[in-house]
Amino acid sequence: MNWIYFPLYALLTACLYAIGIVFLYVASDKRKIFKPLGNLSLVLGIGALSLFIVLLWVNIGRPPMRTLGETRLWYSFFNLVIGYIIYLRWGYKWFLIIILFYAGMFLTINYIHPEAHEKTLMPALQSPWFVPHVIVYMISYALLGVSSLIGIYGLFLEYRNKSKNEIIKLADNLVYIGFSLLTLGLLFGALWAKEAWGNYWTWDPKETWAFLTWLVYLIYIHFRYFHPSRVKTQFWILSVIYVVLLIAWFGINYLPSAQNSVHVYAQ
Amino acid sequence: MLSFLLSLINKPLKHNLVELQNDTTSVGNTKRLWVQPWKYAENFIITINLLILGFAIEAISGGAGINIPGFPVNLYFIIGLGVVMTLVYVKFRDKYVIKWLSGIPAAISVIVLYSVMVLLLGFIPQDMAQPPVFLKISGLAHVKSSWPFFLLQFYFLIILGFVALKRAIPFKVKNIGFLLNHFGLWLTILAAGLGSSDQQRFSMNLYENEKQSNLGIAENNDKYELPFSLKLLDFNIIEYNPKIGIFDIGTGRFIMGKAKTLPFAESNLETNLGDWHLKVLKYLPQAIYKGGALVPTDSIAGYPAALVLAKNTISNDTVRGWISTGSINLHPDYLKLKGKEYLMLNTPEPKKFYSKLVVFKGSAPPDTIQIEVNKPHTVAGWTIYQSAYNSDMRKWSNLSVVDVVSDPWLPVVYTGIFFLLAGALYMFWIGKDKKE
Repeated sequence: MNWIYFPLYALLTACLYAIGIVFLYVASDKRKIFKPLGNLSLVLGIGALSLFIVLLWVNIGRPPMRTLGETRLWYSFFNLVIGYIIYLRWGYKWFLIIILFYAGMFLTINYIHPEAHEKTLMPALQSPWFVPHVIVYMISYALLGVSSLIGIYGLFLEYRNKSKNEIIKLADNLVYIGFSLLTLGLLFGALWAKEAWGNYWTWDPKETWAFLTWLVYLIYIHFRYFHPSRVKTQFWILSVIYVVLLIAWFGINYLPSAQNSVHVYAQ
Repeated sequence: MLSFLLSLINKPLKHNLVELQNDTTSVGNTKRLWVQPWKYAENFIITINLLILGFAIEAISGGAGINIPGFPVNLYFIIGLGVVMTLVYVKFRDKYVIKWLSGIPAAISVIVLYSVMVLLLGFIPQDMAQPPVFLKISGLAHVKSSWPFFLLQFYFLIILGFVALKRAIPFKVKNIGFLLNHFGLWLTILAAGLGSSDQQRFSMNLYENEKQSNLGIAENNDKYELPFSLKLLDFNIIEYNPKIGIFDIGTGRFIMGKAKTLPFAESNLETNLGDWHLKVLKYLPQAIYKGGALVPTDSIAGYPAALVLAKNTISNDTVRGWISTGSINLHPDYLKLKGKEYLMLNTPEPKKFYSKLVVFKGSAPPDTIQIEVNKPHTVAGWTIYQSAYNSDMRKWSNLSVVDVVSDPWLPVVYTGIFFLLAGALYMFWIGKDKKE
């Protein structure tokens, strides 16, 4: 399996996920069969993308976590999974639609910009820390990305004077889990850096921005905790701080201060 | 010390009562400034003034930055800070100053401004050889060792410390997650920041077949005698197979396959590149010229070579012959296919490189160790890392560059990190605490 088959699997995933959503909307008391069918289709959609990731991993003989496109692949995957979990837990069908478009956007970027998926892995990346470090970060990015979508949706509800208490509680769950994984990712990175280079922290631009991301979510959590009623401000913060995360993820490649970073993704 | 700091930042402001409208930094109802309880406006004013003080000290010192004292002063400072803060907390816990310093507006103001400083650190290239004068004088060219950053971080630690103490005394089990996160961060930042001055890091250039050396080279090229010596027995590189490709000397590029990558050369590989179907008939990981032909060898002088059959898918022309990567002494072997297209093997990339070293320390018997990237070795408080080699000489490099690092504060920093990891897992599991 190599990247040539990516469009096929991505399309299959998107279609199955979309069909699943349609089935869930069609399902009713009279048409009960559509609910399990919808769930099945969603699971198969996620399954298709995970199958692609597994086969790609086997084919290139290294974890597919080296290039930016490879991280986008994981990001889309975790978004689809999180969307489905939120549906199972909270029953939001509309949320699956947003997630499909959002994850689909990242899959489309990968389709438009296919990358070279070299089989080589430089010695610094050959470490037991590599996979946990990237995985916890990608799950965290996906959770926090979803929380910012909720922030935007919350603002939308705010301006239509609809109730949004349930929405902010959903965001709480996502941010707390996402932030704890963000902490783990940051610390795993520090422990790994000590093992590889002898420094756990060097204020490398990627580290600086990762830390900044951690700080802005810290601000959000404290603000939310102490001003529980200022929901509108919270939605604003949630929507805006995600930009910092995006800069840490790939924006730093374009910053002048990051030209000597050891963390710029392989192209 | 604390009260001194407070008086320092309070005095000039107390005479400066201003009616403040409900601006963006002020949360809650409009109230007069400096009427207790202090809200966001007062806290941002205090923190910004602290920053201004830092910038002033930095400018007066000509942008020299701050030098953190090493052992034992930093140890006394850490213990002293912990003890003084605990005593102050126990004695004055009902006073407003403690309520203020362990309150949320103080915390948020300091995290926000701390984030701003980190943001500047993230945008402005740091430690340039010739920074613009403004950046140097203000300390922004070396934020992490500048006075404003130091003062802010210190203030951050005071607030964080009191916040942790508030939940620690009296201790309740349900506060365990909160304490792990807050005390863990306090300990990590304090130990990492103040311990950094005791960190020693040197680079050593070790050559095969040379006698042992204890010469460490610091980042500024200063030489230093280490308390142990190292001798390089053997340096080795394991390489990936070379990639096979068709190079177009007209465009100066390789002709790429659909996957935009070139395949590794290996026996029986069949692949299509451009208009050519390639088949590797024989692959030799170690080959050498003997009697005008490439033959397998066990010699260190060997290099990868492949016998390839190339067939043009349009014209059906075939080309058969040997290609090789060459070595540092011998040119690579190419195969001309057509016009400007040449079949060749790329320089192999390193998969793993490692050094076998003998460590001599005092009268102890010499110790033989092996290090590679991500697998350092610790000897008597010094950790030895595989860092680099002479990449021009590829696997024939007789130079191994190792870094030796001594970081006596590491156990303390790791204790803090361990608390933070435990706190993160707690947070992952429990989620949001119910507000009391």
